[in-house]
Amino acid sequence: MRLIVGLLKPNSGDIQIFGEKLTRKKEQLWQLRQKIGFLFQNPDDQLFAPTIEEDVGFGARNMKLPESKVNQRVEWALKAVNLYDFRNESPFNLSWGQKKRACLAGLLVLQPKLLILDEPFANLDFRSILDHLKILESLRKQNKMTILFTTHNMFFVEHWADKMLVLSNGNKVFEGTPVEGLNLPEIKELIGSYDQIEEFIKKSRKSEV
Amino acid sequence: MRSIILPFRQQNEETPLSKIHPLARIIIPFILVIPTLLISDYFLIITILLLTLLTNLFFRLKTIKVLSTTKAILPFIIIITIFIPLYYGNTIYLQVFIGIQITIYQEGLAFAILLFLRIFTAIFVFLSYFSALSYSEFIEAITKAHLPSMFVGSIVILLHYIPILATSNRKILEAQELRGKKVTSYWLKLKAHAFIMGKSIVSNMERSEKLYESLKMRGFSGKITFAPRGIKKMDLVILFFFLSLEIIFVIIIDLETIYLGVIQFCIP
Repeated sequence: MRLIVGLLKPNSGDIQIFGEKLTRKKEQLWQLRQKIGFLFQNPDDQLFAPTIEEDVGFGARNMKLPESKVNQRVEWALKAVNLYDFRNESPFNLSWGQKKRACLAGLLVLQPKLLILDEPFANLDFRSILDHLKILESLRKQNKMTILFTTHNMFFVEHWADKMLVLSNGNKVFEGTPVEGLNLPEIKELIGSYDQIEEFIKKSRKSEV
Repeated sequence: MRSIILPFRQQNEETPLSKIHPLARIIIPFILVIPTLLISDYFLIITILLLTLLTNLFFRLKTIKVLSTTKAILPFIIIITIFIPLYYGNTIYLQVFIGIQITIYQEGLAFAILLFLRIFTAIFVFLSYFSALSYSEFIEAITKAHLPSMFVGSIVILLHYIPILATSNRKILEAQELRGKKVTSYWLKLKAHAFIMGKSIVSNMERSEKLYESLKMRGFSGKITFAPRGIKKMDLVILFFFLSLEIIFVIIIDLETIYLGVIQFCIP
């Protein structure tokens, strides 16, 4: 993921993104980063400004947009993630789920075409996962954003993703639909499944009886 | 969390000083403190201390919190000043024999008192005005001051990491205590923190790298831009008022005569 957004330089080969070859030129990278929003797994790695509003507006101000436009975008992004009422709060006063949504709003002001999410549902309870899914689904449908996410939880791959890519030790081992991938024994073996966990627990508890 | 570790007020907490531009509020303590550091005048230092105390009470700033923070720094000021009378000066003021001969020199004592008052006043004045600033206003002020962007960026990231570092330190310490480590005294706590700090710094280095990457992803090119707010004429008037007040105290008014007059009036 870091390669796609130009944070890392490939050791060999080229990266093509939106039909263009990715170079290390600053201008091209900034143009690209306005089209791609990259959400870090840990929100504390992204939030830095004194208030949510200022953090969310950071990217828009770097785009040199007029202040009225910045405010418009910030308002839209905060409303999109249901954090408008928290705009004057310090990011440190928010819960983990709210912090993650604030980070997402910080990317939305750039109005990207592609959202890259690193473990978006990690450390969230079911209620927060549902809130996140609703927001992401609305962005996908209404704003036509493509979402690329990494996860260790196959539930989201099975039920939410259209395509699936499995990497192991930096190598691609599968590319296709989740239905195809999750039914392959070698993929099941590699990534594990709830079935295996369930089987283990049942066996273990049975032996006690 | 940030408000506990750093001397800033909460974001939504309004004070009468909030109407003054943050940059002006940062400059005021400098106007008040710099002359006290340059001129050896006890009466000027006491006047600035009293003026700040009055400002604290009048604008309902967090006087108790400021005094309690200043109190926490007091032992360090005492350590810096307490030995000066023992080795600086020629005129003997007092000689005491407690197993060894201790000589207190008059010049050293005067200098130690002056230094103590200077440091105490500087800390009290800065903390008082900083307590009226929110973290957001502080960043706004240093951005508006046109300081080098590298400096501003470093301060923003540093302030971002102080609470994170403190929290991760506290968690490690709690985990150690849960596994039987006994931290019974302040000294042991300090030692434990110092020991953990090294580990915390290393693990947070990686995080600061990620923060830098996330800033780059949002167009960071060395300059941090937040919502700008212009300096009004009123802010300049306030700065001019404090500057004039300082000039009056230093040049026009003879503070010594006033204080002695007040003392004579109170104790005839």
